[in-house]
Amino acid sequence: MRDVEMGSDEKQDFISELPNEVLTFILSKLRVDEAVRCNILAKRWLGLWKKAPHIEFNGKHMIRPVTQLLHSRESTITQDPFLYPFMKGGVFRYGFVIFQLMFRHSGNLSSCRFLHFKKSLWIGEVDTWIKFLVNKMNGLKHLSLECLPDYGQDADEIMFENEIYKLCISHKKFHCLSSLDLINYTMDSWCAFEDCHNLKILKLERIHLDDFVLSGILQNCVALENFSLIESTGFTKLIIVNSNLKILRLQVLCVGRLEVIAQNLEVLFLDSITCPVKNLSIYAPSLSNFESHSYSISSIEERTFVMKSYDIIAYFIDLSMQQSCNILPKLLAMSLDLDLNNLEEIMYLSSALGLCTSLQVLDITLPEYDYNDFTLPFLKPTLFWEMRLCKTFTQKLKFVTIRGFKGKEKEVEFAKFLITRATMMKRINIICYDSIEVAENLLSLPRASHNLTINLKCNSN
Amino acid sequence: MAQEASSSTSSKTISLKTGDGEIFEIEASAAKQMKTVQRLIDDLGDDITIPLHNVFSKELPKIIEYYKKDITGEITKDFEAEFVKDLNDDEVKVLFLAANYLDANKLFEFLSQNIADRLESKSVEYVRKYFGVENDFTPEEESKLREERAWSFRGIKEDE
Repeated sequence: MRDVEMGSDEKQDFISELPNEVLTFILSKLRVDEAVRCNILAKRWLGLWKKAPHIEFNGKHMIRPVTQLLHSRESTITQDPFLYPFMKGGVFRYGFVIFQLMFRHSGNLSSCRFLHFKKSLWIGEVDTWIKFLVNKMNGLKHLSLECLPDYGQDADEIMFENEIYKLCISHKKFHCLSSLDLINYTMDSWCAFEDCHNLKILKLERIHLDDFVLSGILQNCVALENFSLIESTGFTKLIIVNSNLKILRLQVLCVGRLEVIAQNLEVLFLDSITCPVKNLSIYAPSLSNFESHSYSISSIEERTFVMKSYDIIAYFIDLSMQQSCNILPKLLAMSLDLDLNNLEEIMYLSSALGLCTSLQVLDITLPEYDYNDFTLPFLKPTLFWEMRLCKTFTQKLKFVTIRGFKGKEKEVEFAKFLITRATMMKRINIICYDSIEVAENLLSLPRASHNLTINLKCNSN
Repeated sequence: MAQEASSSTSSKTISLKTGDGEIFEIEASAAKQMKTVQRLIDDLGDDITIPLHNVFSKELPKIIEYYKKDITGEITKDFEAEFVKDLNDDEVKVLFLAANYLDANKLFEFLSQNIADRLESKSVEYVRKYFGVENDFTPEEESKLREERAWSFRGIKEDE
């Protein structure tokens, strides 16, 4: 039997026999200072980092004493007319190292990530890096920019910094990218997005921008398929019109109006959106996967203004009555934060599920805090669900997850209904809040589906 | 979530024989994720036992476990963290080499990231030992290279 221990000579050299592509793959997962350190592993590794397809420049790991900078052997770079003005201007030290590394890279970089300090914004360094990068790396497809908070500062404070710290990228610089992440910035111009015909994936997180800039970005990114807007502010309305969009993720936003017109949208993820429900409008005839969460915000006060899952469900039910773009019948998967012990919420859920004739996957998260339980007037509990839910619902449903289960009467009834009536269900996961015992008697119920697996788990480990 | 909705139950299983003679079964849909195995199936047919000379009974079960979860769309960050939690650096390396041999993309990427995470802030000597690399620089060459890139040596922690 072959010995696979470290000591065996045969295995010892095996990793080094791997082709360069595999080694550069690992190098691209390392921070850039570590990748450069690998230069001295052996001759073969010297300069290998230059061929890595991805580099991460993390400012926190790149601070270097000024004296060594002065004695560095990079005299060719300090004479470079493009870069010399920055040298003269007392460039922030790590910025220079970034230039060195980009300069010496072989040029086949396809993906790059910057984590820098806000001072670099002030001296226009970030724009210069992007300009240099876009010029040199013809194959650049993915870019991620993140502004790190200074010591002692919170990440979201950066968004509200005054004028000098805003992100300014030159005209059209993003147009060759297919994927872009921007995190922690204030932006007052969309010109970098002009002609962005290749951008498929865009993520904006903690960005402060006004309506004009936001709509400029959205209108220029016509090819966008995956858009995430997270914890961003400064705009009053969010209007998304895009026939290529497939995935939309909106998290922790506050707007006066939210409109989505997306012919091919398949996945919609809403988390803690504050918006008057009457100003909500969603046209998504291809929607197959819908998620609505409202429990993410920890402050109970803020939570009261957030759109709840049942608000949005009520809106979808309205749509079905008006016959305009009926979303519920086409949904394959739905995930909601909803209180199964609250009468109003159950009413909406049952009406909605009654319309969900294709639903296969259902995921419900119960709230942590307790409401008062209600008593169902004169109806036998399972009958309540049975009357409201259509037959196809119990025939299509395959996978169910209930989170935060506490064993309260109405939650148990819902679970009981599913187990005893859903004929095609394959798996139901019950994730208990405190202890598994509250759900154990569900295991002994007669099952409508022969293949059913019931998983009980406990949240608190 | 949507992945679960569209997964089909494939009852076809493929037999794999490791380099040390043990036989394991995997589902055909999991085998599809390992391009080397799929190629062998295409060449040899799916009825016979596929021989994998470079993979051994120590690591193949782990790989099968990973792909079993993958085809049901259940791979989460928690599962991945749990998957590598009890493995030491050498075991991860062996799995990585196996994933490379099997051309199992998803596992390969995940393990590369894990190896990179494990090498974070380690010294050059440790990394050399880990990769089995022989240092072919002269001491003068090496110290010159170290000096030129002194900025990159600030983040190293002590080896255990």
